[in-house]
Amino acid sequence: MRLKFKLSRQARIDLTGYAFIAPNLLGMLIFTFFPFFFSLFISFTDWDYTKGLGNWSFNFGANYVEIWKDEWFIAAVKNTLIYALTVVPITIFLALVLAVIIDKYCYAKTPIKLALFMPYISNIVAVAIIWVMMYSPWGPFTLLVQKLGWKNPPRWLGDYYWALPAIILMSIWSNVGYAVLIYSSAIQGLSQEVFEAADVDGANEITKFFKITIPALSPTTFFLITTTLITSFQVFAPIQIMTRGGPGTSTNVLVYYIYTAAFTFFRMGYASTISWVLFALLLVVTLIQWKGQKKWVSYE
Amino acid sequence: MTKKLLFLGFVMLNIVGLIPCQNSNYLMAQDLKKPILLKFWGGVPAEYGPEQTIKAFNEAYKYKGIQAEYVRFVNDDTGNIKLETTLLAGGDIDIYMTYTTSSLVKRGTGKMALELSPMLQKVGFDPVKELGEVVSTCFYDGKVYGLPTKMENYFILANKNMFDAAGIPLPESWTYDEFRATAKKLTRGEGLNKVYGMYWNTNMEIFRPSYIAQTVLGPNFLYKEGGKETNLDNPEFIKLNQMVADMMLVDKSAISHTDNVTQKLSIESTFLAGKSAMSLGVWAIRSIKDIEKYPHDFVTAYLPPPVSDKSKAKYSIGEQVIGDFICINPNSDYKDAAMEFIMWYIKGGMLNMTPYGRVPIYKGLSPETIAEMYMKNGEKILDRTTVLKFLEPAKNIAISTETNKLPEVQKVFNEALEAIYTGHKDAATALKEAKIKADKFLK
Repeated sequence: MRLKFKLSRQARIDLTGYAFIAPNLLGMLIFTFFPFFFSLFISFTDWDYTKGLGNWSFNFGANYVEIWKDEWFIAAVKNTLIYALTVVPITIFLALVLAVIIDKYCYAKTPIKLALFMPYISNIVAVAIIWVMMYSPWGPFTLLVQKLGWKNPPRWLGDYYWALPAIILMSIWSNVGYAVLIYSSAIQGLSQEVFEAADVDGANEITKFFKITIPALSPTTFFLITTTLITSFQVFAPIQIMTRGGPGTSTNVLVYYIYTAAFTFFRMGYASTISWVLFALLLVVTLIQWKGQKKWVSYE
Repeated sequence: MTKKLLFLGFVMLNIVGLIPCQNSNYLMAQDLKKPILLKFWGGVPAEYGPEQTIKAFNEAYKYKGIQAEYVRFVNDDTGNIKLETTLLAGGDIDIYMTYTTSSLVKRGTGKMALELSPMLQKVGFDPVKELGEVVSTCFYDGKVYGLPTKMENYFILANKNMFDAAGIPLPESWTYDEFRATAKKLTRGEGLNKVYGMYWNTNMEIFRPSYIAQTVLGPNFLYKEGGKETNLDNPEFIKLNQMVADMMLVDKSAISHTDNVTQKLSIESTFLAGKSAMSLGVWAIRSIKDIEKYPHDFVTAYLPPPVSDKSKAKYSIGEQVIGDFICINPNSDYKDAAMEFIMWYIKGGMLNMTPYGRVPIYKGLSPETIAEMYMKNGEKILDRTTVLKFLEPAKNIAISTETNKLPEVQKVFNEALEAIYTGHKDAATALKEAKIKADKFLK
């Protein structure tokens, strides 16, 4: 006997729709939601992945207590904060100034913006390796600094105090192009009437920049701060390639420490705990920004 | 009727091979004349031995239904993670190499390496008898998770031409002071043209020079007896690492660790380029012989490592010297074929690797054959007298098996070494602090 299924027209339309989103939804379930809940689960265990699935040893939140006594974790939090809180404002300020200069005073705007954007779309591994060479004692950066009068510059990536600033400089250089591009398009969208009115009132360029351009670009600035802050907290590749967290703990950042805890110490549970603390940190920072934006961002 | 249907179903399943029988894959593959393809993962670049080895195996097993394929993983942290995650994910690996005893223990206890004893018994291979008493120290709780395939002696590479030019005879043994003075004498020139006495290969692994302390401290030299306390503040470590730092920073007779890291230096870019008279690296023979890639015409001699006190140095350094542990993936479908490969490899197949520095541990191979293979294509650039001395089996070899929180202890030690080699702290202070920090992990 043949069974007959008669679907309503609406049900068929719905099913077709679900079929279209199914690949993406499945991918999301497997690669985002599953790891999300799984990492939360194992963050309450002392799980060594080499022991296989099922060999959990629950420690009921002990990881969340232990991390605050862990010198490597504290150093990683400190370095991540220094990194993010220098890279983000400097990149954004530099990008804003560059975008305004390019917009107002430059010919060949597109090639210049393209040149600035190149490092951002270049492979970070290649960029990092090139900067290792730039910073070497015979590299162009060191030679330039020597020409400028610093006779005995430090060994940048090999120096306890200069390794992190050296990586910060590279990150600013590679990120600034992206921010310039975003600002440039925002600037082009600004209403010229306001600037003309300011001209009539006798405002000079500096006044216009601070009183009109910056406030008018505040939604773009907010967007850039939020996104670059999140990516800065997640910095990993340049550290892995250029310093591997050293010398000492001077460039050990949170994501690099997660990697160390997971794949050097084989403490998957502990590594997940750090990931969740990083998540909490990012959430708090983003919420503060979200709340704070009411005070300085104007959507006109 | 139902019984008939069940029987028919069973027969059908058997035909399509869904019901396993003993050695099913092996037999089936042979029956179907489709060769088994063994996947063999190793850390040596294919062109330095593995390619020739696999070619020889495939030729020998052409009509026996087994063939092999080599996959190279880089033997560093990232490469080993790739290997382990592939093993854990049930990846396509049958045989693989493990390069340190600590990794072997981790892989064995972590179900990444098959316990080989039953299979060895089946093929009638007694490792202790066939490879030497020393291999029993590589077993963990009596279990064989991997068979060591090579053994030589630890040595320091020396540019014989530079020694001759400076009128320094090649030493048969030496203390730290003698070694340091020699390195100083061999140092000359300034700036980019400077030739250093020594290149401590700390970029690849900062821990490397510390193996020398094993000559006095013996096995498990990072731990005190029982493994509940570390040994990082041992005077031997302090003396050795202060010497390394002083050579780098005071005498400037060794390339500094900072230069090493910031310029990503290697034996190839220093020792083989004539920029240092000595270096560490038992594996470097493959680069030494690659004249096309690393052109040089000087003669390389092998020298013993220096010791703090000749009367106290009782051990041969075990790390990197005994090893190339060959393992079978517990998830492999072709375990019998993998064992067949291992037996072939140990009993002579690996001679194809010997010209590139792998000295077989198997007793059944004559020392003359091994020596000839080792010297192959290197007669003009290797000092035969000193080199052959180091091919003899090491005596009283120190092999570490204690792994209590080893990755954490190692990280603490490495950070201390970094502080010492960059002149940030003196060895005594840094290592005493390191011991306190590392001991916390053991409690």
